[in-house]
Amino acid sequence: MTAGLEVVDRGSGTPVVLVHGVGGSAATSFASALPALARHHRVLAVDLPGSGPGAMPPEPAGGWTADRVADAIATAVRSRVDVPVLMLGHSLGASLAARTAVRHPGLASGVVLAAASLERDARSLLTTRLWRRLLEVDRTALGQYLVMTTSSPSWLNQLREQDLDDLAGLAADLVPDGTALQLDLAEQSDLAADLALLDVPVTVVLGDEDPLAHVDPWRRATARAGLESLVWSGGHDVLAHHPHELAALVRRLAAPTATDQITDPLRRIP
Amino acid sequence: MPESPFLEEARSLVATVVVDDVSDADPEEDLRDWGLDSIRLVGLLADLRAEGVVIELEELAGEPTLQGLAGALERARP
Repeated sequence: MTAGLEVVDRGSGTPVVLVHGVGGSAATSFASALPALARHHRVLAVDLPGSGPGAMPPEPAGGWTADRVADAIATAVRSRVDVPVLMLGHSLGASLAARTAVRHPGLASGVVLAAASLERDARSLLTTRLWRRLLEVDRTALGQYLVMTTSSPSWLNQLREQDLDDLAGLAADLVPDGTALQLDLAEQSDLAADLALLDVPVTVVLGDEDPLAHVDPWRRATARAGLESLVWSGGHDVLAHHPHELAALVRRLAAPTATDQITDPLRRIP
Repeated sequence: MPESPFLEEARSLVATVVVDDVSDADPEEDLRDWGLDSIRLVGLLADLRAEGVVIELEELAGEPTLQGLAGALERARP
């Protein structure tokens, strides 16, 4: 038995499940694309424990782990739809989407991994540690750190000093109660292992200026496994900058026509 | 009843940055539900500033509505 996660349930059509990353929420992390997605799909955007407007869901026996969150996502999805869904996750949400698909065969018709770290490396280890520390000692500094690490340098450089402070302030205000727990989940994630177990089509979306999810390890992995890989302009917040592209991608993947199902090797970027 | 010119301007400005069709959006509806996230809002204000219309984010962050933007435009116009 798993505790219930809050879900933003909007639109109708072939279902797509959205899973946000550390410090995000169902409503904010996909805000720019959600209306466009809901025009053609039933969008189920899940709030991870400690995110979103609702209270923290009751902790399962033994505490939240990546497996228990994955099971809770599956329960939330299955209570609403009984057909296979396209699972799309951003950052930590990508790891959890993959884990959910692996643990619940038949649930996902495909998986989209956006701005995800393939492997835990030195930089991601230090990132989660610094994030946790700033969360404890200085919310303003955490906001600045988040803007610096999630936005692409070229976008930030178009802004004035005041805009940067405003953005950092907004980021600090949006820090959810569940951040520490979500950082724990990020530290437990093992996307490379889950990826090897996935037996549904996987599409990878990366930002060309994302300091947290590098293109290079993915280039090798996607070439090896024959996965579709897309590199869009942007930082860790790549999806927020490309609502049209995201909606078009989801539309193609969630409702494949007979033609689309034929794999076009030219579409795959090695 | 025709909209105030500022509300009309607010609507067409927001229409340029969000993917949803805001032509039917209620002036008091939260624009975050129409796809206006913080990135888009800050970008919109930066574009306005380039044209000499200075609106601070804090004027809108609490009330991201067409009405809120129309009011801010009215105040910011010289």
